[in-house]
Amino acid sequence: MMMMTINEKPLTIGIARFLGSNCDEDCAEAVRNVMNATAVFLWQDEENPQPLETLVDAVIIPGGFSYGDYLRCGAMANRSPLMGRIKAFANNGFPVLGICNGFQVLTESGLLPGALVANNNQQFLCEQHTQLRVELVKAPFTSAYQPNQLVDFPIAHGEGCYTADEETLAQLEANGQVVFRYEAGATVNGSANGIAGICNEAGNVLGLMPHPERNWWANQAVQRTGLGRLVFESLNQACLAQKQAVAV
Amino acid sequence: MNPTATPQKDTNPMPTATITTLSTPTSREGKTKILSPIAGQANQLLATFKNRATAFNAQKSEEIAGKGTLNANITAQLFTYLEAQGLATCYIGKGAEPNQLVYEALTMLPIEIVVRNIALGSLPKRIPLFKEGEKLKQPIVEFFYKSDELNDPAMPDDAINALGLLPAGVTIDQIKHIALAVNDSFLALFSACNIDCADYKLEMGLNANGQLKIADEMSPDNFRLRDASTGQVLDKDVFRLDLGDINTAYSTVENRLTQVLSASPIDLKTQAATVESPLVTYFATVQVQYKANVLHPESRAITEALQTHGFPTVQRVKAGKRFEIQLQATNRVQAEAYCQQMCDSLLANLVIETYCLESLELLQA
Repeated sequence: MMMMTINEKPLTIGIARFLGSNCDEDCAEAVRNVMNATAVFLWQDEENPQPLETLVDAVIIPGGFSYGDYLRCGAMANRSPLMGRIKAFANNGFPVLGICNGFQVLTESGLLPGALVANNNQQFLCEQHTQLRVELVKAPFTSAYQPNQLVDFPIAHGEGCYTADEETLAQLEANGQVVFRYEAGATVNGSANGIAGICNEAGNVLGLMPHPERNWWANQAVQRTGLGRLVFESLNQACLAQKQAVAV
Repeated sequence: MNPTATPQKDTNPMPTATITTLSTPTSREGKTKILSPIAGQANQLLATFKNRATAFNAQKSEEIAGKGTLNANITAQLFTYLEAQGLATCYIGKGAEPNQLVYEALTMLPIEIVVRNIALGSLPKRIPLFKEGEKLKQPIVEFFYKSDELNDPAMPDDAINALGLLPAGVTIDQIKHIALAVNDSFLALFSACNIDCADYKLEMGLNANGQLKIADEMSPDNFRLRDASTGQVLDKDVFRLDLGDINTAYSTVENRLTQVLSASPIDLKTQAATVESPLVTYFATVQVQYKANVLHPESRAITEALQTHGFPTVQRVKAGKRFEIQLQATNRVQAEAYCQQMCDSLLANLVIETYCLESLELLQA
């Protein structure tokens, strides 16, 4: 079999769309511009018997307020037909990235451990340059970063306080599953161990509260560093490698 | 006043003044049963049902051949049915003789629990606002202290607690909860038998692991049962009031139970309803709270707001969620199981929250 290249068959990235998702277009922009890939939107109620892996190379669950944050952030989205398909996709080892509300959906679904509760300062946090440390440099989401690189991503959340029992936290730290940590630690929103983003044990599912898709292009006029771009570059490399592995 | 007149006393083998342990090594003989230890089985008892019928504190007493076996059979049927409905009983199995059953030895509660669906017996006499034979709008659960000397006095809930009659860990609510679950199941079963289940007496006890179980006897000796079409008396009132042959009445109950229960075989493991129980409507309230170790800013903000708005003595407020759920199920155990599944799968996130089923009421049709 011939090896596929990006030009012959571009990557397709599925972007989940629930009622109340509002960062779906931003994610699509990042996917198109950084990855030169096709972005397809996956509708919450679509019950397609075809496995997602036959349609897309990775899935992004974007930020927003899925189902109006009814009951708990992410709780209703987790019961949608689409999430059933995304869970199967993730469990088959394909990359799933959950940003902000997407992270909340991932913890509700059990694909990631712990939970996200209200910020301990009783505020909705909205900041352009929250400092994060990249603690895990690894495919498929962070291979393009330097170890311990400092990055600044915007944050915009009311329920971003990561919480888990002691045992789970110890396991996350011991396994190196903490991918992004707030440089200011728990003072940002009360997150245990200053956790901003974690991955599952296999590493193919990442959830983070900050928004890399809102910082994929540099713009000195507004002090934008563009460091979020590397998440999508990492994902691009991983998806191409994944495709090649299948094609060879 | 005894709730259903004498049957309670008749079937109570021991005049108990305090919590009684049944697992004593000697046999105990009551008016209608003998409980004896089983060699090599410390936690079991053999219940031998006697042929004697007694009423009015044993002033009226008669030997009726075959009655012991009938009562043993009906008790076995009803205990097996309750087990299939997910309710724990002392019943282990049949004994060597047809009038014998094997029970788990329990530490008995010193109270009898009477559940009423129709105003008969002592209820309309004590409270004449209830008309004799009136169907009650909701079941009434009453407690009576087991004491022949005191003539089984009625016990208000608070009196039971004030006297400390319940063992540690057992609450009135828990007992009522089980009694109402039993009642839902019995109403479904007897209705399928075309029998009105007017009232009955329950006893409960704790097993060696501290589990509360339904015990004693489940026969027409401690039920009031009436044919739903003809009103024919099918319980011990037949003997008490000289209304005919007691064995004929009890056999009718046994045969109808056999017919209904054999029509849909009992599967003890699945807890499936054993009869074609109609769906009934329940109203449940579920409380969901953050776990103690999870910081809840909303609760903290409310606490501070109250403290600074004229309530300086407020020390802590915990906000939570309360769900009111109207649902249909065949019985209380099933309704409870549904609520639990709803909480586990959606209403609560067990990583950060706990839940409790606050109440579960049967809504009248």
